[in-house]
Amino acid sequence: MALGTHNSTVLLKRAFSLKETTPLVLVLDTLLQTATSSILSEFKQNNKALNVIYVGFDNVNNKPAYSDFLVKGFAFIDTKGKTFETKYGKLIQLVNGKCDATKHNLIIMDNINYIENEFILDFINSLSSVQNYDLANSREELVNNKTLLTVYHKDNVDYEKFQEVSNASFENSLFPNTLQLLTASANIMLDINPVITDNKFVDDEEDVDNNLSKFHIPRGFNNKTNYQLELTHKRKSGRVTTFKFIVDSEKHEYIDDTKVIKVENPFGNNDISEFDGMTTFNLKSTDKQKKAKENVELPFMEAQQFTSGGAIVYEFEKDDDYDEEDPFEDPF
Amino acid sequence: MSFQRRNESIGGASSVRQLQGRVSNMSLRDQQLSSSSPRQPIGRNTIGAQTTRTATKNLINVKSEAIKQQTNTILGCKPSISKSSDIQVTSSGSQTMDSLVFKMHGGIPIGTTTLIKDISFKEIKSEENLKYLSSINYQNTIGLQFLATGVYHQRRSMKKDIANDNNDVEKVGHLGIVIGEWIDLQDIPGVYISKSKKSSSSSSDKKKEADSIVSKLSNVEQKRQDLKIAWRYGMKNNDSLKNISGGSEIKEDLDFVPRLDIQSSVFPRVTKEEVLQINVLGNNLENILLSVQQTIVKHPKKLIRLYLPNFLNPKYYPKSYFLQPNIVKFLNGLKHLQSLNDSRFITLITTSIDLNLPVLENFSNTIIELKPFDQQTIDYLTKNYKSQGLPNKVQQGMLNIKRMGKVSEYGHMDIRLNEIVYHTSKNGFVVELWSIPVDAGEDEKDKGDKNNIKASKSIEPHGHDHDHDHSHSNSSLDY
Amino acid sequence: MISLQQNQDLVVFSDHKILPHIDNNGQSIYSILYNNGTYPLWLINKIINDDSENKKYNFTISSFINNNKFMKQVIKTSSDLKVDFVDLTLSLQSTNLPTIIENKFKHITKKEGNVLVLEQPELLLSSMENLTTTNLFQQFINNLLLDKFQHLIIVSNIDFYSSYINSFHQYQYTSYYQSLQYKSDVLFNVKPLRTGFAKDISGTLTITKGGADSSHFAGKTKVVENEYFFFVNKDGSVKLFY
Repeated sequence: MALGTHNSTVLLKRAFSLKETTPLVLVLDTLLQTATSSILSEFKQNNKALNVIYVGFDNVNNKPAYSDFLVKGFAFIDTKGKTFETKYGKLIQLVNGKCDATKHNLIIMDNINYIENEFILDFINSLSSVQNYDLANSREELVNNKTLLTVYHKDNVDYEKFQEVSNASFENSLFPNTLQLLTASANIMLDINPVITDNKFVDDEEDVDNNLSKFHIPRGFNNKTNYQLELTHKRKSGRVTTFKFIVDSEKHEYIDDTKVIKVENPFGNNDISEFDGMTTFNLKSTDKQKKAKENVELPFMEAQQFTSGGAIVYEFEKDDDYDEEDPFEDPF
Repeated sequence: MSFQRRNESIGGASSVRQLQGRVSNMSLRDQQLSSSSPRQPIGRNTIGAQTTRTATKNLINVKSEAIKQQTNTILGCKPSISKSSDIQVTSSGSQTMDSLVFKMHGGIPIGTTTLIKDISFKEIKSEENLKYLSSINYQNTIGLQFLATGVYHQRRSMKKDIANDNNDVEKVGHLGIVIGEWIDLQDIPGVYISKSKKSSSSSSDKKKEADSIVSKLSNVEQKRQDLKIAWRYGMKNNDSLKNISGGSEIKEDLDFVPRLDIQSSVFPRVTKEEVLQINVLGNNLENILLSVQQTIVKHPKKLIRLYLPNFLNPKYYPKSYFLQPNIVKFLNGLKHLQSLNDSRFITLITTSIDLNLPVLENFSNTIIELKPFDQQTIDYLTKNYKSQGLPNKVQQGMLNIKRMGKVSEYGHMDIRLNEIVYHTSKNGFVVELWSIPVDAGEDEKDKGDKNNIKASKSIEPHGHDHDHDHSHSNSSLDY
Repeated sequence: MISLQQNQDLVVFSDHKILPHIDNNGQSIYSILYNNGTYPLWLINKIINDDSENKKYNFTISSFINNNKFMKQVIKTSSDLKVDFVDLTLSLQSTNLPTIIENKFKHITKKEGNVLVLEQPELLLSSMENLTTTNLFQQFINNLLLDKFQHLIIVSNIDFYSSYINSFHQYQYTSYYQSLQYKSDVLFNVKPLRTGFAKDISGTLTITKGGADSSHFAGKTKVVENEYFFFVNKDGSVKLFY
């Protein structure tokens, strides 16, 4: 259970192979490093037994090499439908029909921005739910072999409120936006970004921003096989771990790029790397020390060993503020 | 807008067709009329093959028809000095605009839409600068000159003596359409009349006018010579250019652009037959388009000069005009009309605020941007020109060309930045190549340079380089 | 100076092809983005004419901004190429998206080898009330790819793009261009010089790989990313150089 005993790349491979129960995977990508052309191939690569169903919205006709089925998502949507059932019912049925009961199924939704904010939760539930309602026998059936992967383009997050026609009501509502809904429900988040420092066609991040503000896409991004990956893994316990990697999508190599392991906890920021060179005290601990520290069984650790039930279920309430930043963070 | 509702009730598919029918019906009739009747081409009789491009005819057909049809000429038109000879141009109303801004053609290419946009509002920071920065007036000045040129040619067409060199030729005039009740037609300037004219005889007077125009022309020629350095396309066609501008050309050019006195107003008063005014209040874009269309059909031969002043300025346009679908449909319909009548229809749109312009720009063939100087620069220029005894020469801002009709759409790049400056004088809207005046009170060159740098800083990079052919090697390096 | 510059061939793929490879079910999207002063007519002509196997394709030219009269005049192809023109300018008056395909592309019954040059479909975002980018793709562009065309060359004016969004329309336009980048196999960006007119350079052409998955490209063909200077001659021919 202890964190440091896990090799980060092993954890990443486990995440890709979907060996653990993972109802929802969220992949965040950008213009310069799209998920379609990079990370989506890693799942099949790490677990050949997966049954991959690619639901294409961005892509109409090309079945990606890493998928077993292509579902032309847009063609099965009733655009006149007013409710979730009438609009997406056919698509859900079709996708579920492609699922193989004997295998683990990965349903790739590329991309989720095509689903209206109000239908996101319904969509996730109907494609990833652990509990399926079996109509024929009118009983609930436990289906554990489905993972929904949603690709989310994070270019326009700040402006999501303009996405839909009926945004007037949204502006007054505290209902979370699509990204918030997804991050709250995802078990694994894979945030991918281009490696800017390696790119000889741009100077720095500012230069990239400058170009993008005029929609000039610099060379050397989607055509490169290297990209940066940030894996956020949410355990049942509520514990969140984040690792950074450099991934080579051609050789399928993962190199740990995590400088310091971040453990998010409610008491503050554990990242002490920012004190580097600022103090004469040794604030760091060696790997060995960390390992020893983690192996000490603290009395409350036992409470975290869930076997069944008792998971902390966090329900979002209307006054909750989903601020990613810690307001009490050290000003450094 | 009723457009919408009607379409919806009919259903999308049929409505497209219906509209297509509606738009093209009238104009098709008009087109047929023009191509079957021997009155269409606007080419001058001296250049027989100058015809307009009729939709689907192949070139040979058009040529042979043109020879038959040499019985009608729209006044105030000439072939473009550039590129293929089938582009006809007419004057913008400002001689300097024609020769500098539209230097690829020598006038506004017929069948195009010109957008003059003023971006001054963005840069207003304090109240006191407002009066210097707002260039609405300049826009209307050029617009009124645009209309006045039409009136001038229309009146010429009504005069008998004009046609007496060739009785077979029917001289056709222009028709102005202005959309906006805030434009006072009495503000349309008249032709410049010299003080001596009233007393002198008409023949000598005419000669005098001709003289002044010839001198003006030589001026233009001089400028053209200068431009040739930059104007690469001209080099090749030099010979043909000389042919065109020899002999008969000058005679035609005499009346191409009238010399206007913007302090006067046209006399006798402008009539409805000369400039049609369409109201904006109590109207909508669909009806405006229909009125324009009907007018075009009603006058199957005249050159139509459509002027949309202060387009979509909220001061004049009610809120109901601002629905984006309606605007696009209007511009789309206008472009369609223009294409159907591309031998005799030009549009000038001025717009004075930076609203959502991409659509407007997208539908315009020529985009001209007026960028007023800041106060510091104006003070600097005023000081220097006053010391030279040229207080009227103070320029008011930069004129940038973002797109040029009948050039840009063929893929040629003709963006002109910081090369041209504008101001209004009693001769109207005047543009010239940008140059920094000699610094007042400073004899030594290096000091002047220092000031130049200071001034140019407040303008734009490259703005100080007065040679229009400037910095091309730099610019490539720059990139 | 001009004569010293070596004229370069337009290369899009590592096997020197310009048009995408034909396979039976695949699709491809090229996006050509330009600014107001750099209408990339020459590039469209070049893509159609310069590919060594262009006779295998059927081309359709459709524009929402320029009518057939204009397009037929400026798109110059050799006579043995199959080129068809479908005028979409009046479709901006339409209020129903699916009917545009029904009416205008009725005559196309199979998609194999069909290439559509589609100019400024983004104008529909302005002309149709409440149209979202999502719907533009779902109900129009995707449907064209479904059973009418295999290859799409979308030509769009980038001046509608704004990096700061404060309205529904701005959002739709901006996300339209972004979607193009996500969906495209190849992106062509035709930019003017920042300084305006120059005697010997018209602008720059940047070719980059788009965001689309490329695992379907036959034989590991790759997009060759490149940046050229281009100069449009008077006769419309173009010189590419570095």
